[in-house]
Amino acid sequence: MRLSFVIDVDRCLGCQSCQVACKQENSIKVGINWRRVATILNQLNGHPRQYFLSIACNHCENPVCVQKCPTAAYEKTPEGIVLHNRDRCIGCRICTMACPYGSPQYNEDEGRVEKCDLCIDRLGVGLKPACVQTCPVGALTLQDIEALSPPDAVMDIEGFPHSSITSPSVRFKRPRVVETHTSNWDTASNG
Amino acid sequence: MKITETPLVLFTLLTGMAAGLFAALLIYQVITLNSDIDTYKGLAVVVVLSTAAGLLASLLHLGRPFRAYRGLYGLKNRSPLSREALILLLFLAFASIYTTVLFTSKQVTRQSFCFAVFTGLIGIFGVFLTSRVYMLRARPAWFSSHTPISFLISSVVLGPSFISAYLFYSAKQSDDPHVLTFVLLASVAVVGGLLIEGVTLYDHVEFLKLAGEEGRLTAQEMTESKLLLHRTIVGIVIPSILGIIMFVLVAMRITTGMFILTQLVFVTVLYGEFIGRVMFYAFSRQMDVGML
Repeated sequence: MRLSFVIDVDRCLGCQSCQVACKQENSIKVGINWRRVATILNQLNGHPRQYFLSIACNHCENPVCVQKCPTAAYEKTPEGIVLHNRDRCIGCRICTMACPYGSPQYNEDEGRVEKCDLCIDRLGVGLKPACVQTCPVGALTLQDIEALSPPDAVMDIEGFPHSSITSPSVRFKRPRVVETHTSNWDTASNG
Repeated sequence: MKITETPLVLFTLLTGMAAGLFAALLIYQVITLNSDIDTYKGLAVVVVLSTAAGLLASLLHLGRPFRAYRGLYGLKNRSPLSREALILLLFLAFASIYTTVLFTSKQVTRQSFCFAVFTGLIGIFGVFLTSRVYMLRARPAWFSSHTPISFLISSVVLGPSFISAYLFYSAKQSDDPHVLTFVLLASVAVVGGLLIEGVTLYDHVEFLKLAGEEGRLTAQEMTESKLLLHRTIVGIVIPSILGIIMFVLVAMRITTGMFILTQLVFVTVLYGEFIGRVMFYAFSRQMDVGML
């Protein structure tokens, strides 16, 4: 079994409660966010469109942080979780430069990097990660990646760095494309 | 001018200069038939000091510098940073051994020269590995052939220009045909290296304009900055012109004013490479979620 965050883009309200829950659970200092909510603004059929992507470490299949780290502070567990050993970290920041998702973040006070560990302690006692537990609309879930398949779970979405870089273990449920029709009322009022 | 990552600018510049200096020293040894041991000693000391200073500067970049030794743990994962650290430490150790040999013997033996050639190759390989560290797909500005080219060219132009300046600074052998032959080759290295650097720099800017949103923003920042113009005029055009003048004068066996000229070439080359490295770290937009 390999675990993956699944983000239902249509459901996400951008309320940032996942971000707050993560900070609270892990006692993260101000200025650092293991999870953050990015606002994506683009256009669909010429009309402005906005949606949100709640992003933390994607626990990639080919994690560049693991490959680049000079102290072997990163390891990937058989469940696919990329863990960071803070005691081994020397604060060279190569992982922060290499990660296309900005997941490892540098803590200047401690002189080392930190990142999401998928709430491995909570998972160990059968609880969901704090962010998943807190999401009020069920937009963020943790699922077995092998049980997921398109079109419900796609790897690439606009605003997210291409999956070919690190094969991230995150999947998206795409926002619905709403067909717009001219209503009878519009037709009538136009004459 | 705001400098980001100052320790890394100093580290890459000093170790790059040391590697180029060592390689150029070997060429000077071949030209002088291993007979000018006093000059070799002085230059070898500069190589060791420059490498050591560069490695010390790199420690200042770390959040926990006293645990820098852990930077070798990543060798088992083939971490580029660990490889770079190992090779540059080996270069420092071997260059120190060679310097000690020069100070303790009256002439350069065939064995010690072979050892020096091996050390020189390690140094150049170390510079190449340093550039490999920055080949990160998350930073389009770094993920191109311009990165290894610019790092290696720094060594090619800094090493020979330093030795030329050093030879005329010591001013003992300004008419020595061996010295003039070396300075002639050094001027070719400087002008040729800067020409390649100039062409690849502007080609790189054009490449960035097509390399996604991060690349486009990086190219925009570079072209709007005065640093690009500064790098081009003061760091490429002026030293190239001075290098051409140096070449012509040496070819005509005119040594008057060579002291000033060689110093000027080295200072402008060093300044240009410094600006180039500052730009390297300053203009490198990272990919991020939300960039369309």
